[in-house]
Amino acid sequence: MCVNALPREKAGTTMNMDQIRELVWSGAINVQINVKQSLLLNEVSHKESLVNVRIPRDTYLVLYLPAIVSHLRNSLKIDPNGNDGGTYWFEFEDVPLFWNYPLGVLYDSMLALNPPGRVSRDTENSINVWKIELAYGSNPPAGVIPLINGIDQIKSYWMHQWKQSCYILNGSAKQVMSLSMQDSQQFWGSILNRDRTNFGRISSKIIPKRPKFIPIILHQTLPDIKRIQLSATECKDDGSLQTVADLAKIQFPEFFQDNQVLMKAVSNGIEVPLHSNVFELYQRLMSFDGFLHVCICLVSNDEYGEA
Amino acid sequence: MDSALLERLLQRDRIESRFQELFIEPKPGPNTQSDRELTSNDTLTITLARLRKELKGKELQIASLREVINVKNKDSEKLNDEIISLNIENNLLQKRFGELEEEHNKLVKRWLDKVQQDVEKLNANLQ
Repeated sequence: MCVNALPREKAGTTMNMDQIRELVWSGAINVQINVKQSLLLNEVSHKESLVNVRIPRDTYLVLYLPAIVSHLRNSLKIDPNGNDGGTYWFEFEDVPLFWNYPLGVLYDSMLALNPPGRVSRDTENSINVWKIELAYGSNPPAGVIPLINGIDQIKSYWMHQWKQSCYILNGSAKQVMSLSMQDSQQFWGSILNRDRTNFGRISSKIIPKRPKFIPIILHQTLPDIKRIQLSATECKDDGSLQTVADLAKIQFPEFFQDNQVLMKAVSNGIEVPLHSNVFELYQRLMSFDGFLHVCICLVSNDEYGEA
Repeated sequence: MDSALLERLLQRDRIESRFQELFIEPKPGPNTQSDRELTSNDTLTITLARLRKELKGKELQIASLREVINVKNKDSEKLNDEIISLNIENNLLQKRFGELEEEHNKLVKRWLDKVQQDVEKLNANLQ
């Protein structure tokens, strides 16, 4: 059995944790969405072919697709009300973005974000924008789930993710399956309305105080794009706390050579200490789909030199 | 750990929220009927004009492509005629070649017969 935090520390910890949850929930990214040239009508100016939006990190990008398409509809060749069997998807540098991961995770992993590096380059006048492209076609790239049933499909996918994470956490999906109709609706509504109170209230019914396993997804971008879904325990067999480094060492032994660590763990746009306990990290940085997403970032050449 | 995470998250937000006023904050989910109606009328005229222009452009493109097809068709006919005439010429030449080959064979045979006769004559004189 693992050793918990001391009781007198708990009040402060809860307050800090709530602040962290609030920041995780409210984090957002500036995104510039350009329409692919082949989808544009003639005579459309550059300004009309893009839209600048601010989208929360902890949500699916496709939830904002109707608003984005509506904004761009006068520039698009595609009839927004037509039904030609095609589907929209997003691309970053010609690499398709899988909408079934939170936007923040896509941003951190596709850019292989190195937060300390970004902080060191930041100035008072610099602007952080992620430029992506909107594509459309009847054959989406491999891995992109075609959007056939709109918002209902996104909702059922998200509920399915919660069932998965609930199963990993509790050993069964009962906690999700037995949510009342009202709670289920409010749970989804909390995502659409960005209502953290309801989200926290209902997710707390699913997440146990002592989980069997912790649902984690590791995202690796370099050298290859790879996603590894893990079910980690809170403690190791010897009773000590399981850390991010413990998991990373198993999955990526090549990054731990000769007492040198060649990787960083990034979650929600920040570097997380490798010695963090996975459950503590889960409680603080878990995503709206019930998983803890951790992106693996390689240390830069400068940092490697310093080490 | 919490204070470090808090500090980093605040730092992240400082970077990621700078100039956020330049970005619109859309609502998630499907557009409401009133949203669609409000924005549809004022932009309809612009879209219509743009589509008419595009239609005109496409018609011109079709006309020019038709011309290209016509030229290609004529080229194809010419090529067909040429192939036919070359085929006829080839047939005639084949026929002529056959005749010449036959004549050549006859001449060779006659020459061989003559040489045979000469040899026989010489042999007879010697005996």
